[in-house]
Amino acid sequence: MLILTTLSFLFLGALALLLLRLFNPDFRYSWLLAVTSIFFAWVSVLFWQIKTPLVFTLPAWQPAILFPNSPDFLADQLSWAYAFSLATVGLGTLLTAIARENFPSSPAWAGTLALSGIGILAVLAENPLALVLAWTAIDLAELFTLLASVQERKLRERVVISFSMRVIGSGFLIWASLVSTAAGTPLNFISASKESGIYMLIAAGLRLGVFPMHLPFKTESALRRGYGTMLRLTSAASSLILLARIPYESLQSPFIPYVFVIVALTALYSSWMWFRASDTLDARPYWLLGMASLALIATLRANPVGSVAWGTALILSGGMLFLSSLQNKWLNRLLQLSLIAMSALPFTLTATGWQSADTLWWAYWLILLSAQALLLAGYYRHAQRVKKTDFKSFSSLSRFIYPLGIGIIFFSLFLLGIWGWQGARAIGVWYLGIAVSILTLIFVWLRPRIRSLNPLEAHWLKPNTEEKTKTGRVYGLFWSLYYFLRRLSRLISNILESDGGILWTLLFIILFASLIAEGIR
Amino acid sequence: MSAPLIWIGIPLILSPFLWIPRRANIIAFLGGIIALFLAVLAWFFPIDTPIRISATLSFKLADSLEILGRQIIISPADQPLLTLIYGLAALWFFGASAAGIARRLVPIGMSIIALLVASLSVQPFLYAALIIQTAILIAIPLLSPPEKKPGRGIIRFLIYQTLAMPFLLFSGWLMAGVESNPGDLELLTQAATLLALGFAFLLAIFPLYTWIPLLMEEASPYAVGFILWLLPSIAFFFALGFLDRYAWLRDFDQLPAVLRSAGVLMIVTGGIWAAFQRHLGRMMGYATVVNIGFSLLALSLFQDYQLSAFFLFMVPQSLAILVWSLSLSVLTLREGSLLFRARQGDMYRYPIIIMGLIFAHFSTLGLPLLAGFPPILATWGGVAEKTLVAALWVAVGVASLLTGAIRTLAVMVMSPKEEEWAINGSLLQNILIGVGIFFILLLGLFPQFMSPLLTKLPFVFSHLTG
Repeated sequence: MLILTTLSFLFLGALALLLLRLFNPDFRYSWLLAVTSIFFAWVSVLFWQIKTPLVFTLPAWQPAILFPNSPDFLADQLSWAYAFSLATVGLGTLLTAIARENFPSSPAWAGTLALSGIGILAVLAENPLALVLAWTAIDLAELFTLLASVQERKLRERVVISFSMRVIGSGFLIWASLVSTAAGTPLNFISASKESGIYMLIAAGLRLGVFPMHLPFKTESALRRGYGTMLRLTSAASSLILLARIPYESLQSPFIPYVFVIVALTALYSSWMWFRASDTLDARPYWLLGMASLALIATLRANPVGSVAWGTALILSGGMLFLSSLQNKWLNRLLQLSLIAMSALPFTLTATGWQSADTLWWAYWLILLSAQALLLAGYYRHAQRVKKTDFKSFSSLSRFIYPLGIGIIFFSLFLLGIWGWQGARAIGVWYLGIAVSILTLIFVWLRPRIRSLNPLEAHWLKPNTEEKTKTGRVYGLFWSLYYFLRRLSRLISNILESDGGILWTLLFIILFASLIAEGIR
Repeated sequence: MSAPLIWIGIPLILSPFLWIPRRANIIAFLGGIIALFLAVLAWFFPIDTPIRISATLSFKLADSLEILGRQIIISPADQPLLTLIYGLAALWFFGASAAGIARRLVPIGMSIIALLVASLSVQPFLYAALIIQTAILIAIPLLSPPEKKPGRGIIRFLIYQTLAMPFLLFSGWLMAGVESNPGDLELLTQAATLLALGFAFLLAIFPLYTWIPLLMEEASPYAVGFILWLLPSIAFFFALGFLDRYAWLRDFDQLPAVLRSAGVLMIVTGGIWAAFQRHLGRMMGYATVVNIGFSLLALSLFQDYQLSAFFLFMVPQSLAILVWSLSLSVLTLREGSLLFRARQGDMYRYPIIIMGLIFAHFSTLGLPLLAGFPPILATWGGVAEKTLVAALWVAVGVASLLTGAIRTLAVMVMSPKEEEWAINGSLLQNILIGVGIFFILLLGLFPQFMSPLLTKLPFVFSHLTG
């Protein structure tokens, strides 16, 4: 019931905003309505804690003989943390909307409310069926939003490619479920066959862009900061929850060590790029990729709580930074202080991030801790670079509400460190937290002093799909194969559809008939 | 009064009268209303059960009608099937005006449906092959107007469908012998082989489907869509009739494997061919080949799921073909060419029409949240339980069809120049496609809405459903 209450606030709020936009475009309290809806939703998510685990079931799919599982949703300790993070970022997005240049924009607010609702449904998914449905809803929302907002031909192509990668990711989750069913263990998030785990990892990796490493959509400055941020983070959260749900017993494939290497290198590469990036919004995919890689590493080390810790840190800290378009002294300090929550120090949100019964080779630690430190140092630098706008030019209401939007995310970031879920009040591996903090300080100190850490703008903007790059060559190879297959298929089509095709067909038929007859005997 | 007279006689008699109205939308409306009325009647009106009208008067709808010594029987168990066929036909007729083909499709379509219903009800049932052949001949003017020279697709369609008839008649003749002498292995082999060949022609099993893409290029997409919905559906019901009737066929060990292999072959070849198409019509043609493949796969699971999986496909597949062919017809009417190079950036000129096309394509390949997903998931799962290799091949076919969908989407959104959004197409066209998209989404999220129909449909084939 509580889950339904939250969803009702979000979806009915979105519907009301759209109807008001259609029938009463001059309605003056749209923003208030949006904020009230998300605020009540946020409060109701807080109240879930009293009664977890909560279950929300849609009407069962029929006939039951074909559908042993129906879309069910479960709010437990792990999914609550994600749901709370999404509700918080949604609230932050709408509160900070008051100071955006596109204010008022009720379609964007309705979109934010609806996305929060779908995102919460995705993180609550109790089985793969519910998750793929929610994933597709988010994918379609993203596809049509992006297509409506970008104009250039090349960008539209990237939108379509990004969509297809996500769909393929969903396909891998469906395949994991089929493999598990074939092995006699119908897939749910409690039990899965050992053959299926690798496919679930690939599904999450593909959707997050970790492997093969790709940036879902790099150039997105055309999108508005508020709705765009919500879209990105919802999409990431809906994929990250799978990492917390993969049963560890299913991750016994011989390919897992190779996956570990790829993920660790992706973490290092993306954190390096994030650290060196000059534009925060352009670098947003690197932040998502870097933090998601750390979450993936936690999953591979049988630490679902740690995976949730990295995931929620990605959403909340990322939300705080990407929604910050204005700057004053206090907001700046809040952003810098939020680094503590990501440091893996005791009693912080990410304290459980490095916990695991598994031992790790020292070289891995070198890569992973460097990656985390680079992400933190990059975050510090991007927090410093937030656009300097004169805060005094805004109304007194905006001057009060806007910092509240950022502040509420900051509050939640620290609240999750001490209350409400399995990873709260943890000491974790404190010495690694200290090591990362020191490393971060070193990177921050080194950056202005070493020239190679300050790339030129032109270098940063170089397109990553140039023909000469390795990626370009891989794409070239792929397209060569595609054109070869296309020529082959056209040749066969032409033969079968030509006048002589009937003879070929009859030949096939005689062949089949003899095969069938032989089979019967 | 008898049931065959209502569900076969009335549509046959009314179909010539549907030529009379001068306005196409009136023809479409009348055709839709008649079909809808017959569907509702089939759902609610009991056959072979006395209905008390007053104290002295009662009425009973007889289930059979005798013509020239042959019997046409529509039993109460057939009523859900009639509801399905006429209900879906109503949707096709309502959309015919928006597709600009109501004048031809509604009268001809009505008579084709009546004949195909007759083919499912005639006794001895082998006469069905002849009635199906008559329906195919009637379909020719629908696909190729008299003033137009018939193309290769239509000729090949006629050849392949006609070739099915002798195979089916011969196999039926041999089957009578098998029934009386089940130990005769030679006779059994001949009967089964001829039956398989007959249905291979009728259902356009690889490589006999070359007429589908050719026809999609030559004829109105809506007319071809109608035929691609109706003919395979009736052919499948006809095949189920064989399975239901002959115990030796039902218990034939290799049957599930044969059906599965044929289904996988259709999905893989149809999917791979679709991936490389550059004509929107041909793309739809290959997608319907994949549809037939999935129905075959669902049928291969009849020993585990009875016919639930098979019937679960009926509405989503029909809905997707309907929306897809209507979208293509609108594009043909307004723009002419369906070639990729001519349709670049159409998403911005025809957003609802193109969304219909894209959603129908994604539904056919089983994108989650869309109508095609639940039946594909159930069938794919069933196949995976039997053999993971077959399931992997299905994945190849689906991935190839997805490639085709992504290419279509990319072409539709990549305009050579910057374009402003504009909603083109008539209000009726946009509303019908919009409603179609809504139902594709609704059935994707709540497949149980089809449950009332699905629980009754399998009883048409009582031996197969246990």
